[in-house]
Amino acid sequence: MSLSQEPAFSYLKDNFVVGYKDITGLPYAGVSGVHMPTGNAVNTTNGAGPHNLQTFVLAPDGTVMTCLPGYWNPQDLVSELKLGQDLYRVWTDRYLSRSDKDARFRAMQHQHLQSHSLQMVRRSKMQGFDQKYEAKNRLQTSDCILDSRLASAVLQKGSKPPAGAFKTTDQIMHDRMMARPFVRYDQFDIVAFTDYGRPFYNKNEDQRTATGEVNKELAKAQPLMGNVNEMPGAAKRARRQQRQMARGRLMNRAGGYLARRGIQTFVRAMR
Amino acid sequence: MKNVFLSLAALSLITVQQVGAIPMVNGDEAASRVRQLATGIEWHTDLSQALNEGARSGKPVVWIHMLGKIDGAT
Repeated sequence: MSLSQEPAFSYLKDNFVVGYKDITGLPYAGVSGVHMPTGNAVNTTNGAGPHNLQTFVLAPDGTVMTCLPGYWNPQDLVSELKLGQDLYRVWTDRYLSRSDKDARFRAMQHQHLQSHSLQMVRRSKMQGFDQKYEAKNRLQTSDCILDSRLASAVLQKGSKPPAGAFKTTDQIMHDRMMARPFVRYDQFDIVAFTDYGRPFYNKNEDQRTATGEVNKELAKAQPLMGNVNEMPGAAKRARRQQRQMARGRLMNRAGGYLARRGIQTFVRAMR
Repeated sequence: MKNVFLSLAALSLITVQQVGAIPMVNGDEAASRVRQLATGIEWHTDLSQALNEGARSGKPVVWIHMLGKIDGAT
């Protein structure tokens, strides 16, 4: 998790009050394989897994300064947290009118996007399976697609979309934030904001060999968490694992490791 | 010439392994980081308490939605 890596950890600790909420079972939550705290960790791209993780920067009155869907590289996360602090200063500036604040909000989100380094933009490439999901399900309507003709290339087997077909995730995030200046947290449309790509996201961290390759056998047996029943494929997989567990097979594989430790989330995912 | 081919073959093998592998933090190191994250920062699980603390300290609040728990399975 990028929060535990520097410079994110120290920046978070020194500049913010922090808290979290387990969204397992909430309507907008996605699905993920259960990843143990003692398991391996791998890096991923910015904005990957938008349904499974969202990071808000809130003013103490509950107004949203910014929101990052999915996982973010620690450096890029800090850069976005700094924007959240800058927006907080605008929000608490007593000399600005509400319309001035909203205008500054949009301008600052836009300027921040323009200031992203090439490296950050590269780290923000949308995952291939998320591109496929957008092209397959909303080719003409997705705000993640810049050019539907170019984006349709991703539906051809083995074909990668050319540059300019899809937005990067940093652009998706800032574009969506620009449309939501200083919205209250309890009125923030989290479903629409995080809605890109498929609901299932999993890096199989705990099912990797020492060289980083996925052990497919273990990956198949991996328990799931989140809105398992909302995803037909995942629900089928959960039912299969439930049957396997009943037969005692899973006890000898990855599930046994989890079950012995009484992981509550695992049990919830199986219900 | 044969040695050159062997060297190239060995080099390509190394390259494939590097391409196939993903930079990974092993379980012990990851567990240590998770411990530090969970214990090195005071994590609120009640939003209103976090906001009150933000108002008291004058700091904005980072509020995270996640599948799982900060110190447990995610």
